[in-house]
Amino acid sequence: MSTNIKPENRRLLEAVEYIDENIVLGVLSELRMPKEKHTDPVMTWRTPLKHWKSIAALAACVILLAFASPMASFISQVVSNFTSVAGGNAGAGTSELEMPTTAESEVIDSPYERSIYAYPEGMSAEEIYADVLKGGWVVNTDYEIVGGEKLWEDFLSKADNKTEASVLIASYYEESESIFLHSVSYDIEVYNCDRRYICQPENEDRISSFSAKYLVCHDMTSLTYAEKRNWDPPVKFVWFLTDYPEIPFIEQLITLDSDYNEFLIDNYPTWWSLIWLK
Amino acid sequence: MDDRKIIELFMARNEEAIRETEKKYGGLCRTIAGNILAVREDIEECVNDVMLGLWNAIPPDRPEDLKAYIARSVRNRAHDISREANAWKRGGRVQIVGDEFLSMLDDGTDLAAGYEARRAGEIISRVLEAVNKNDKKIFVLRYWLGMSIEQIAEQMRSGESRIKVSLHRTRKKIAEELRKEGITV
Repeated sequence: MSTNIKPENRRLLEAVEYIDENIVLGVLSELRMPKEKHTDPVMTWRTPLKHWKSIAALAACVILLAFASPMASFISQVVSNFTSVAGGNAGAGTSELEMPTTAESEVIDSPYERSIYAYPEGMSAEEIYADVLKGGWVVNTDYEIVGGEKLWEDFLSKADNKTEASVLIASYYEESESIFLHSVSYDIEVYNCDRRYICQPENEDRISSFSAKYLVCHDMTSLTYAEKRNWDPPVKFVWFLTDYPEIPFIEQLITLDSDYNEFLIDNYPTWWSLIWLK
Repeated sequence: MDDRKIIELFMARNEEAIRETEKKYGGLCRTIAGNILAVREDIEECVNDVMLGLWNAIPPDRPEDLKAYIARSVRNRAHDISREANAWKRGGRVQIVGDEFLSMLDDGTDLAAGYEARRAGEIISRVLEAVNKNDKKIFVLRYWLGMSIEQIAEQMRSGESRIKVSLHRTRKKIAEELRKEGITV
């Protein structure tokens, strides 16, 4: 970010000051009270240090427990699972759900806070699609970013086994309806949902009326919903991103910011990479 | 306490009005001010100034929507303090928001003071009236109020990626309209 703004460009920012007051007031009247939290950006980093004694005591307890109890084997198993999957060998999907269960009220919608697994580089789009369909993986297209209908059309046309599923798209954005209507002819069962849709009671009938083979989850809340429904097969959570050759796709996720969405929107892909998120 | 009762306290020149306002809207004020100002002392100064400003303005003002009135006052006062303290050079969220907004235009953008800004403001308003309600809200929260993506996501009960997509779309529409109206890009 530049630290100096040209005088003439500052005047453009002044344009925001002239937005119709009714628009502004309308928005302000709907503001929800923020949660009380420490707002001083300068002081925030010091806050954890105030509790160093508690943190040290907690760390000591964890270490003691880890060595002195059967939990040691559990922890080592978890670590082992983590490191083996993170090694990148995400070929044919496993059938075992490895996601931790999350309380329904806890919403995590930040993919780069989770572990990231990736297909080995060099795998073709066709190979990836075939693996997705046979392995019970789910696909989150976030299609409104990458040019939705075209992406789904291309993806579905490459699917090896169309008899396995039919497509249902249920999403926050209105344009998803056109994708749904377009895709049912492909007879591929993928259920795409984000938490705003999946957690609304009025959509329960529509959701339960489809025996989707795959569930697309945008976030942990919808994943938790799927777990509680005992969805078969167990679901996983995948981002379906564009491939931008100059930037490895792992870095695309790690450096997610406003620029990420902009280049996704502006650079329609010729082929796609799939990334598992766990 | 209900906003109408708080306003009645102001009208009656009862100092309890300030206490009740601080109690109800203090957090909101600090959040809005904190989006613009980087220093705790400036944030507190801003909130204090706004409370004093409310005491002086009500009456004769009798805001229909107290929350909106306060939010706008805080935001405007925070910007005043920011300008006074030359915060553009020191950094702060206003600068980051500004850079992001300006990135949709080339560096060659040149606006004559005042008039062009008003014209651009009208164009932005026109675009905001045409987009859907959520996109409008997200844009105002980001560029008028200076909220972070995270804060907007919390306000809208939405994911951050959705917020970013919404902002990008709205910015694109605005940039297109500005170009049509002959604002150099």
